[in-house]
Amino acid sequence: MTEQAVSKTKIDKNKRWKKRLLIVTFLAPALILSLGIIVYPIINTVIKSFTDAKTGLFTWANYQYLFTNKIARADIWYTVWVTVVTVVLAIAVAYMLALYLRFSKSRIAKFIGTLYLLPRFIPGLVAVYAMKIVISDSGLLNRLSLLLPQAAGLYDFKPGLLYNSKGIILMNLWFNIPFATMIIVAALSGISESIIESARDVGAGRVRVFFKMIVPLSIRDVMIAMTFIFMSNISSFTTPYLIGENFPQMLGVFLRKNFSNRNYERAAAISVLIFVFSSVSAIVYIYTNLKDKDWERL
Amino acid sequence: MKKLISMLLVLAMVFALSSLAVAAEKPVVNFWTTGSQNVADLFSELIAAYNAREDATAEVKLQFLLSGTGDEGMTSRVSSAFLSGQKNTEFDMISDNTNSLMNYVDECGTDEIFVDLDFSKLPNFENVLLKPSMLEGKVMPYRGTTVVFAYDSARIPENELPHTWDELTQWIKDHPGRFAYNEPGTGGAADGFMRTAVYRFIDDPAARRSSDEKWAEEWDKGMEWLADIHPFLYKSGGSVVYVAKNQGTLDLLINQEVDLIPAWADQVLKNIENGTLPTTVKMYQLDDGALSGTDVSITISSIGTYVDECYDFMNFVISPEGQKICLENMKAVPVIAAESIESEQKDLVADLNVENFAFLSIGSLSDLINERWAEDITTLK
Repeated sequence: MTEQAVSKTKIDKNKRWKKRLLIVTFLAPALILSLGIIVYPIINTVIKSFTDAKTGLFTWANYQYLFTNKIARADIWYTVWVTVVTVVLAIAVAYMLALYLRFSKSRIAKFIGTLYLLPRFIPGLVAVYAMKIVISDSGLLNRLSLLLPQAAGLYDFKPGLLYNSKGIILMNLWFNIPFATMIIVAALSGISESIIESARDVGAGRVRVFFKMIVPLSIRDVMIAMTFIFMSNISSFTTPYLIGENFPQMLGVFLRKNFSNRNYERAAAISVLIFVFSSVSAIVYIYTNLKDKDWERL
Repeated sequence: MKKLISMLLVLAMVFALSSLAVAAEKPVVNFWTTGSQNVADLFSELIAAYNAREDATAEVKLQFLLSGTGDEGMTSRVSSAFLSGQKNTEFDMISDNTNSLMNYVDECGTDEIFVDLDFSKLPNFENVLLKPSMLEGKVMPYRGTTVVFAYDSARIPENELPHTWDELTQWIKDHPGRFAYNEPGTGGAADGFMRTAVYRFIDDPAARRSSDEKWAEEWDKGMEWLADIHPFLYKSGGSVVYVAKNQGTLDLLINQEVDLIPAWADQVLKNIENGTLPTTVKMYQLDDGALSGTDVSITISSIGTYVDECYDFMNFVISPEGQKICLENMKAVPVIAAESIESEQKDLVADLNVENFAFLSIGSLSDLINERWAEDITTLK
């Protein structure tokens, strides 16, 4: 080896080492933060959920309670039910809206295209109270109905949407449709006009183009939107706390109730359960992402 | 010239240092409390007034935890610090409903978490009319507040108003959907109503000031009564609803969805003052068992940094000047004779004499009774 070559490898090594240091420096803050405020609390919570409040010893009792107590069981089913209905409805509406926004060139479409993002800029709590003012039994809808002539049959119309699952789902849709639409519109914009035109040229009908091209090309993003909506709603608190009923309640509210009654161990078990639900959807998310990479390679 | 400047500089430095030294003489004492925003507003004003006094011997700093966002943790933080033997922490003064202060004692397993107050350092205490409901000698009540029934006199005529618990039961059944109480655990108005309803069936008065779990066995009758009125309470979407928070039921009264609710007296007065409730809204108590009121107290923790330095501020809070702030800022019921306070708002709370308060301090049984309520009542269809 010549002297030159040796010094070159030295420089290379030096460069590589510097590059690694750079990577570490950039990753370190995020890593330390996530270790400190995500990983450590999770481990702590899991341990706590298996701890007996009085003796501090290992116990299954907190989980036993969750799966045998009448209120806890009802709350778990209720949470899953509200979340699934929210996901399905939000995606259905968002998909239709996204299709319209992508393929319509009208002025109304453009207007809606700017308008639908608006809810994302309104703080959650404000939105919940605004919704309450509209849909409560003495709210805007009720007051408008009182202005109608009595014969209309709508006189003193009470929507009955507050303090039950209908209200929670309505509010969830308000929050999630814009979000899902945003993701799906982005996916649909990625489908180039030329692909669709060429398919139409060889005689594919609208329906065929939709099911054979548009759906497969956007399904990945739909799945991503679904997992995000699922994750944010399974653990939601503000909406069900202010709009929901007393029984059953969503897990977030149930958790708070246990926390405020100082059942910290049981609250930890509920947290772990919510975490497990979220993990399932996280796995779906990762799986969809990986699978699609295979598809892209082909 | 140079000499003069340097002389001036030296003088300025000495002055700066000495003023620093004067400022540093005052210890910074932490005052911990929790509640709704009205509590934060009250203490911001009390502390500002105290710190502005020239003869104040300490500088008080407010540490406020909004209820529902960590106040449960506050009890646990203090008691775990106590149990692990920590000293000289920042928990100097702690203020809460005396009933809630009992939770600290329950979690610590001893009342040594609070120091025995030296009342010779609280000269104003001799004017205090209110005896603490629990923990006597450890706490200093500084205001009273009570749950009352609030109704709109424009909608319930005087002669139809129920005056006993039996009449109330009948009234609720005769007027389905027009009575509401909020979900216990989300606001004290419901706690006051629900607990009074349960404890009026227990004859032994000792039960009302005890956190002994044996009393839990005697809750059945009260829970049955609550289940009995359940189908006639406020409904939305076809089913009975217990809304969250004290303001939840007040909103129902404001929107005329219900006519009669249990509510905190101070919150009703505040809503009337703000114009959100009409001036026709009135407050009253049933003749055979008033809804529970509570004394709100200040204590000194035994694990804080300062003890003696706390008394001056506490003494200020129960002075006529401090009590005037409590009355005007929060519509709180003063703990000293109303005559000694110079305020036009005295009449507002004239009927709510602290000496007639119905105390119900059950300490850590609160958690248990809330859970029992959730299991017995919310699951009814």
